[in-house]
Amino acid sequence: MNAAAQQLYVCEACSTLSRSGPGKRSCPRCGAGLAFRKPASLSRTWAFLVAAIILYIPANVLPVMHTEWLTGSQDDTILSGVLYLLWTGSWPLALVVFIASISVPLLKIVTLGGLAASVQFRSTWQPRQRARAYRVVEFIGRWSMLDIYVVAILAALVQAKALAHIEPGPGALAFAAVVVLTIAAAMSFDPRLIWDAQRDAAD
Amino acid sequence: MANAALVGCPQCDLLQRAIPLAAGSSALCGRCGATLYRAQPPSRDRALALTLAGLIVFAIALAFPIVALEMKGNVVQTTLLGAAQALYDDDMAPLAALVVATTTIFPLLVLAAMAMLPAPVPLRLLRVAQQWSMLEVFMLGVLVALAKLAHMAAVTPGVGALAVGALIVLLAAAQRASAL
Repeated sequence: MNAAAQQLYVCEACSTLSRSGPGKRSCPRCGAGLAFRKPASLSRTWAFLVAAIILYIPANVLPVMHTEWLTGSQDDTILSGVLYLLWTGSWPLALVVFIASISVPLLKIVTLGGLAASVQFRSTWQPRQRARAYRVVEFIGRWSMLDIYVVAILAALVQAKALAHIEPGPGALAFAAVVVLTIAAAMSFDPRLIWDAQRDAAD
Repeated sequence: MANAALVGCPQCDLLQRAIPLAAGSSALCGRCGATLYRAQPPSRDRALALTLAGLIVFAIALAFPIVALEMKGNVVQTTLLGAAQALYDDDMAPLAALVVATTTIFPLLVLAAMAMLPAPVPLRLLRVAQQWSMLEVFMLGVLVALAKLAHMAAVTPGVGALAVGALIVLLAAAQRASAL
């Protein structure tokens, strides 16, 4: 039986159960706002997701890092940064960066899109697997920030104008936006909606 | 139907009866598998001690260089905020703000909120700050940056990097001790 069916709120911040009453909108224990489901969850998830998909293109096409040294200069995209690590011999690290920068954002966009679509069409297919997929997306999302930090550290260290110079490229801005937008999309999605379709189908 | 003995799953809204647990185990939702609660009783003292230690280590992490690079006799160092400063200087203010927020402001908010628990407002703040505090990702970024530079210059991790590492452990331990 769902808490909402019993007119009980589950606080999103502290998980305390409280009975809904007239005019009551905040948790008696921690004061957080209460709602049976996250407000406008699905449309907000779609909005963030569509914005992320659009920015995903410049994030991967534009250079995230610009390197200049005595004899020339080079622009690196996310993918060429991974290839560089591979060629310089550190394949385990190349794998880590590949997973964090290329697999994770793509996986997040596809999974969240699938989850949102499944809720939109009130699918009853494999709810437990979908709930688990959501938890995975929530957990791994932050790791895509990796490349942003790498560029920041490299830009701060390699500043000797005469010898070599590294600065962030426009792709870094788009990439950071994709990371933030996909995290926002995951936060907006309400996994309880997965189970609501289940119950509605049974009724 | 006593409310005290009931728990509502935060991820699928299923109402369930709470059961006593053996030490060290955790209760999972019977329907969707999300973690409902852990057997380890929250310890205010332990959480507060770890949080204060975290604040001290944070000061070290901010004050000392994260990495140093030596190229042709020139030594360049950068601190946590120095990395953000470099982005700002290269006309990437939004990126600089994102780096400062995720590696300094939100981790500090997590520590501050933990120190003030179980007051109501910090609990809500904590939920948001936890999501955007990404020191462990930054640490991996330091490793990757070191590897990228290793073949063209002598690079060494600094005291600041060690402090960030310690801070990650302290933050995780403090959050576990307060059963969050």
